[in-house]
Amino acid sequence: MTDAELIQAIRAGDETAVEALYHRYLPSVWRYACSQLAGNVHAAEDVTSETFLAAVRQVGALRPEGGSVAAWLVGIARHKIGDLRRRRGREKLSDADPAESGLACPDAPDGPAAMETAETRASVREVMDALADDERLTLEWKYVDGLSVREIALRLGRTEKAVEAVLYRARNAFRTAFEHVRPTA
Amino acid sequence: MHANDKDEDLARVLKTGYDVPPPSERFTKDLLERLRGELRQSERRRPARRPVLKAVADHWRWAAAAAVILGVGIGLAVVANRGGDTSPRTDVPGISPAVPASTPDGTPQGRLVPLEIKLPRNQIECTPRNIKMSPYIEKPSHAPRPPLMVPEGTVNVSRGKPVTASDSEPIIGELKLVTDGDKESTDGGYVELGPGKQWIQIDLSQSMALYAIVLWHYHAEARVYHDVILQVADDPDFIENVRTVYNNDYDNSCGLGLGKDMEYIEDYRGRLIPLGGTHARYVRLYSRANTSNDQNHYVEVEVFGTPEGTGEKRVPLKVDLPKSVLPR
Repeated sequence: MTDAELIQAIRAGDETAVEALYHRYLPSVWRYACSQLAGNVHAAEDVTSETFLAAVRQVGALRPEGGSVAAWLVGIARHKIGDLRRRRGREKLSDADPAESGLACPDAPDGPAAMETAETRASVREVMDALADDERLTLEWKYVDGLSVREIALRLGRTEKAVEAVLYRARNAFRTAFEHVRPTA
Repeated sequence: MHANDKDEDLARVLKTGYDVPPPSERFTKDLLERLRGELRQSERRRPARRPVLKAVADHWRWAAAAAVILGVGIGLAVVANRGGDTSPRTDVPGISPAVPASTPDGTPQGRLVPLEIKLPRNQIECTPRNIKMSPYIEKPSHAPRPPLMVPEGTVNVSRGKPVTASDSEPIIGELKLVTDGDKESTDGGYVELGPGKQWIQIDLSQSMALYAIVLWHYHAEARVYHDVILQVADDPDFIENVRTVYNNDYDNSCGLGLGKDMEYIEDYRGRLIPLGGTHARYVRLYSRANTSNDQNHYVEVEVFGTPEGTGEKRVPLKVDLPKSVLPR
């Protein structure tokens, strides 16, 4: 089912369509919230909840042909993060204690390796944040979630050729920018 | 390096970058339940529409015929009323960009001074993205904006005034941000309304002469908001004496009349729309999504006018008539 079909079904009150949309885009919204909030899981949960609830409330006014649903959801999440920061008096949400936030991982490397991982992570986020929503999401789906071009095309309601073109642009943009920001040895 | 190796390398880097903990199973389940509940509530909130929609679906041929007849009838009535002009707009005479402020009859009143507009900082650091230039979009210019001359004593009359909107539950922010004086497009500095056509409305508390409005939708990124329509009126429901003073809805997709004004790219200077001294109490602004997303945003709206006692006052025209010589 394409995004446009899912949206139509949700408008008609179909609960299974809400479930399908949720499972389809929870990873993208969660990943975005978590990375923007530097792994503060509690804040990411708040943002993710508010994003999906707002989306269900506003779905009647969404034009499926107006753009990708994933970009719309990430747009809502972006603003919810802004709201959260404002509500909390612009406290540094990113300074969450890794142990408390859930970022602590027993297998995580220590010392220089850990530092390199943290630097790579920061560089990737910086570069990905600068990409257009559709480019960033397409890269994520292809290389992090392992979706095929066909599956991405179905989500976006575009042709496979169009998705390949977006991927080509996104890859080039990412590699060029990453070369500039990546930590040098 | 082989293309596959490059792809594997990219996947490895991205996976490292997005190595975040997964959401807990409990959170995932709870949120799904809340979404189902929200959907059911949304359904309950619109019970009245269903029988009508069902009836239309059942008798669509009759409904279509009735709609055509009704549409033609209304169209003919409007044309007859307006002498062929099917647009519902009531333009304010004498308004054009950067013209001297004037009374409604076009006569400049009192001493004129340049309108002072305090601008926010320029936050755009990159070239516009996703904007496909069309004949309807004004060519961007970095030249200084010509000053707008307004009567001395003209001030911002919208600061802190109540704002209402078509979307009572903004996706982000609060409606009061529209008139709070903060013009920065930073987090927490703007209100976001839902997708599609939306409007906001400012109640200026009293009718007064209005000379200009400056509008900032969102200026942290170069983008174009569609169907920007500005109306002023004397009643909150915009039924009587509605005047459309700006309209760039070039295809009438909002249904408020075909706009003759240009679309424009947002920047820190905002959009200055002269109002020429028209009197009104309520100001309403429409928009319908933008080139970056489906939502509608407002950082700030400033309405400049002369509050009661400082501007010209309108009085009924007194005409002394001669004595009638015709037999009664």
